[in-house]
Amino acid sequence: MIEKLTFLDCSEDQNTHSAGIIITDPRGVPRDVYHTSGVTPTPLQEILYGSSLETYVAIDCLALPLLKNLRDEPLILVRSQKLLHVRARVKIKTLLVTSGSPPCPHKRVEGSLGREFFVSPHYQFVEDLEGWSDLTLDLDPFEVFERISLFLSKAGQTV
Amino acid sequence: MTSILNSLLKKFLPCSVPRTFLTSSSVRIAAAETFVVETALGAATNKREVCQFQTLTGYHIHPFIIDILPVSPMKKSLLLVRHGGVRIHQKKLIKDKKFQGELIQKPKIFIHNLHSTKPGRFGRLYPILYPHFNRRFDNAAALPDGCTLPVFQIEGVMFLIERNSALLAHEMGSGKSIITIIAVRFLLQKARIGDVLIIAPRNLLHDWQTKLCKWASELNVTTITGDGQARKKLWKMKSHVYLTNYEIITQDATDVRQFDLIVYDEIQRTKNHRTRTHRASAILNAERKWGLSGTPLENSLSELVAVFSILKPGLLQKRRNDQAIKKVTEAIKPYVLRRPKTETMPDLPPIRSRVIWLRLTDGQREVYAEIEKQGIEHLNELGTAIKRGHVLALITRLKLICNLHPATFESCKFNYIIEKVNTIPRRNKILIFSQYPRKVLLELQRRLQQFPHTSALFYGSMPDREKIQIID
Repeated sequence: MIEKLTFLDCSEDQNTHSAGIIITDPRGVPRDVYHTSGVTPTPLQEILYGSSLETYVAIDCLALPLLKNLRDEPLILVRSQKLLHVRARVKIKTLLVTSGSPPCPHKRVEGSLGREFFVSPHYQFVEDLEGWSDLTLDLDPFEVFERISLFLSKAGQTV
Repeated sequence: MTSILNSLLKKFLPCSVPRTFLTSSSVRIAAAETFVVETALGAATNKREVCQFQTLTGYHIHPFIIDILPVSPMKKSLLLVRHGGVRIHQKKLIKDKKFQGELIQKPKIFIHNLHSTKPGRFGRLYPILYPHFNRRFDNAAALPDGCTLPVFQIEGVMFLIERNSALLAHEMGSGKSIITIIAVRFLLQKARIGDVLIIAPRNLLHDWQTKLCKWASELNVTTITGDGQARKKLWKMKSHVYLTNYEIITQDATDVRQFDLIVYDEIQRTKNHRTRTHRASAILNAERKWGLSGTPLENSLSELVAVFSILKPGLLQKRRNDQAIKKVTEAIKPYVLRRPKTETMPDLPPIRSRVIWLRLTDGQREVYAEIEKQGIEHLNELGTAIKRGHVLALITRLKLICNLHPATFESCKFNYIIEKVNTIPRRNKILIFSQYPRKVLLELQRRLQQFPHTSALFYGSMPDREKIQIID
């Protein structure tokens, strides 16, 4: 029985990147929330970091410092392939959530109101998928990611 | 190549620069210094990037013997990278402020306590983090345990959230406040509003508090009460919902800041445009204004005009009643939603009214006749000085006698009620109304103590604390 779910997401708004984590109960009700301030790479930084900029900002600058603050090691759910790579840097089970055409291997999960979704592990950590067979969750993970996204966008305007 | 670079950079990097990236196999995503080198190495294959690099940094990069040289008048050579080998002339490249500034800075981390009574600067955004309503407003996580919204309430929520000016005029008891709370939560979740001011009659504030606690437990609610000084502080507190009454608004209206939404509960309280309540309510500023009322039109059309001059200024002009009804109805149609109880609660049995005529007891009849005689004599004595108030005062005295003998407390009504109470099973509830609660109901309550039914007395002039205790 999963007691806690950790949703990690990052957002980009006008070249400002930020990330947030919502730890929820199985119904999606938030227990803890963490988020970062915005990081805005300069044009020079964009050249210096090249194509690796997005991953570097998402993983090294945003996700890892956020995950360092977690009190325990819950399961992490992400919705972007880019963030799934955080698994290579932390010892926390991490799964990618998709609504269709999931990468292999994957497991099908029934969400709230019968809406199904899929979870896939990082290719180096397929064992993260253990315990996800025939699971039903009373929430829509994409709705939770949307909450993080909206919160980050509004928090960016507040700072 | 990368390992040579790493070892040399490790040697010359100042301590202030984090070194962890140097041990990483992926130098490419490590830090800006490394990228300077890598960009330089890759310069020959990406001319556009080299040009951009030179323009932005002022450093030249030679395509084969790759030099990074400052264009400054000092002409200091900072880093020389040779094809197939690396040689660092000076440590200055890394120390150079220009380069250090190009490292992407680590962001600040914010940790939120969602249940804090004093939410910080992000507190206004907390409702966004709670489960959002779906299109059918039926996701259990967003509603209190075991609660659902009937169709007419969902219709009411949709009606409110789609309008900046609205009058929700469902009949009393159909859950207008719950509809409003859900609509407020929806707008807060979507960050379409940041705060809301709810103005309600004083005796309904506790009801609002209870409902907000149940239906919107994630929201921070501030009730504005107390003296002027205390209220000033309360108005400044950070909150999602501010709750106050019309009396306070008449005092504080000019000092109240702008809100994203104002809800006027029992908005008919503002129906007379000459009153302070109306004027104070009208000067409040908000992008959205919603009114709630079970009886939006009590006497004349001017009341509706007054109400809409608050909700949507300029929509209605002052018109003569007889000519304007049709025009006013047309104009307000998009802003009013009214559902009668027959639609909102079709399962409720119809109200049955029975008027029962009782004969006064001998004692009541005697004292009634005496007071009536004295009263008429008094009115005759007053002659032309007689006023309506004199007559009403006499009627009131006579009505009281009909309820209760002033000395012996005999009462034909009490006798009837007691007889009826005896026949009603204990599990049922009985409501007894009187115009004179303190004089009549107190005595009735005393007499009802002999029965197993427990009783509670509630009247308008009762202190708020007592009212809350009784309701709870």
